[in-house]
Amino acid sequence: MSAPRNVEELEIVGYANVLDRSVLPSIVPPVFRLKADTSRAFLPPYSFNAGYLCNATEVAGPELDQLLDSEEITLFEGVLPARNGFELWVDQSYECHYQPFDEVRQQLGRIAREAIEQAAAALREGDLPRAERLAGVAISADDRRVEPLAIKAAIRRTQGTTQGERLMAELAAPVLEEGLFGRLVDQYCASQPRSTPAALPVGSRRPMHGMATLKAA
Amino acid sequence: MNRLHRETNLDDLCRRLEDYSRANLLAVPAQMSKMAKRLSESLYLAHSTTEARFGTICGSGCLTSADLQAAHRGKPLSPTRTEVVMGTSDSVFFYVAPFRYPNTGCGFLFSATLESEYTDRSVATPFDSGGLVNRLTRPDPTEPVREFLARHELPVPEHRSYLGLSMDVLFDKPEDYMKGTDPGWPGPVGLTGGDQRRWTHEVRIPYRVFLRGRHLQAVFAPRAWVAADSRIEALFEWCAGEDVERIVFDTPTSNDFAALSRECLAYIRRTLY
Repeated sequence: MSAPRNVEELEIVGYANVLDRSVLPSIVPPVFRLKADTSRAFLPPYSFNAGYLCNATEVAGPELDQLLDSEEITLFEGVLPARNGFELWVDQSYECHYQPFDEVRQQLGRIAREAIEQAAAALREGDLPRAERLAGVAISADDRRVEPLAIKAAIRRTQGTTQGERLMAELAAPVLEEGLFGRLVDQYCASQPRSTPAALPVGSRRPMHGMATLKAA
Repeated sequence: MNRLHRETNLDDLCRRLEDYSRANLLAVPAQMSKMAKRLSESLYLAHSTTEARFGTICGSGCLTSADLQAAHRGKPLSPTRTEVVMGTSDSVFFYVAPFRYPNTGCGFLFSATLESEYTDRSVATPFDSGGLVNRLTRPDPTEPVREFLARHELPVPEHRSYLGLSMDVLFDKPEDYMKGTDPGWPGPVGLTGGDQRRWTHEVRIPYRVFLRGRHLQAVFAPRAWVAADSRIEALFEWCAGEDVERIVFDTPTSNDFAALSRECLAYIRRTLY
């Protein structure tokens, strides 16, 4: 553990993660280094207290290259001056943003809202892959929202994957009671276009199929 | 190095622990305490990783060595990479402890029975082998790092007998090993510096370890990642059908490792105490 460091003495050289597109946007923990001695870098886990970076793991510059090579960190081409009360996040096109905490929450909240609306629209149009991708964006942007879980549950129900639907209900359970979640899923399912039932193969037709509709001779 | 050599190392290390306790007037119990016995015999094998790699692992269905990952990427490993320096790039790594690899947010716990499937081919050490490269200081810095490692490679699962003994002799109480509290006495290995991984047992299994088998005990991931990544979702669905514990958690402060560690400790306390 390194001694506490004033955030103003630090700059950001990257972040301690390598992100897959499926989990963007995402808040990421910065990799810091000392402005005055660029050979000293600081990695998570760490905490912030009154403008100080505390309990970080200090590594030497060459170790960053090893971590990059083992795909544990992502390094920028340039550097960003570190600021107290700021957070680093990566958007859906892998672009990095460093903004005050409240602004980040607002931005991510907006992305989540828009993605939920678009996912619901895609669901109404029967475009399940697009609905699933957008629900993923919404979950990544704001994991407190329950609608994207319900959209994914509706997709799983449509696909006939009961386990997948149940898993989404479990994930939503801390936020929404099971019955209410089920009703939300019902609504999303009902919003989907009704598909024409596919014709059964001849061999699988039930023997009594259509008999009741035949007129008596 | 063959198994016989590792058995000799274990005998030697146990003897060194006895000498160490005599020299420091430490009491060596005639019989291992109940807690040390239970923890040392049943502590899980823990492998934690970053979220991005976790998705890939869930998708592929196995943990793989750095060599296999490099072959998959079609790019050789850098000669400065820790596993290459240590000659361990053909291994999958586990701690016999809660998750201790920092900056990770997801993980797998395997039951101790996994070791019995690899008794001839896997290796244990009473410390994190990767730490020897940059973080830990050896008692004799002139001894080549690979020689130091070779002298401390122990047989699997018998290394757990040394683990139990050291829990009783070196730690104030056996739970301290699990909680990550430093031992009151450093012990005969003689490493200094670094963190808890200096005394955490490591197990290395060659090439790959499949997830969908009878040894997988529990899977840990942030709630959002399970919902967002269909590969993780698919593994969690499989786990539900196989009675493998699924631990999902929130990461409100975006410090995933703190949340992961907390959940893992709670799970171990719930199942092993």
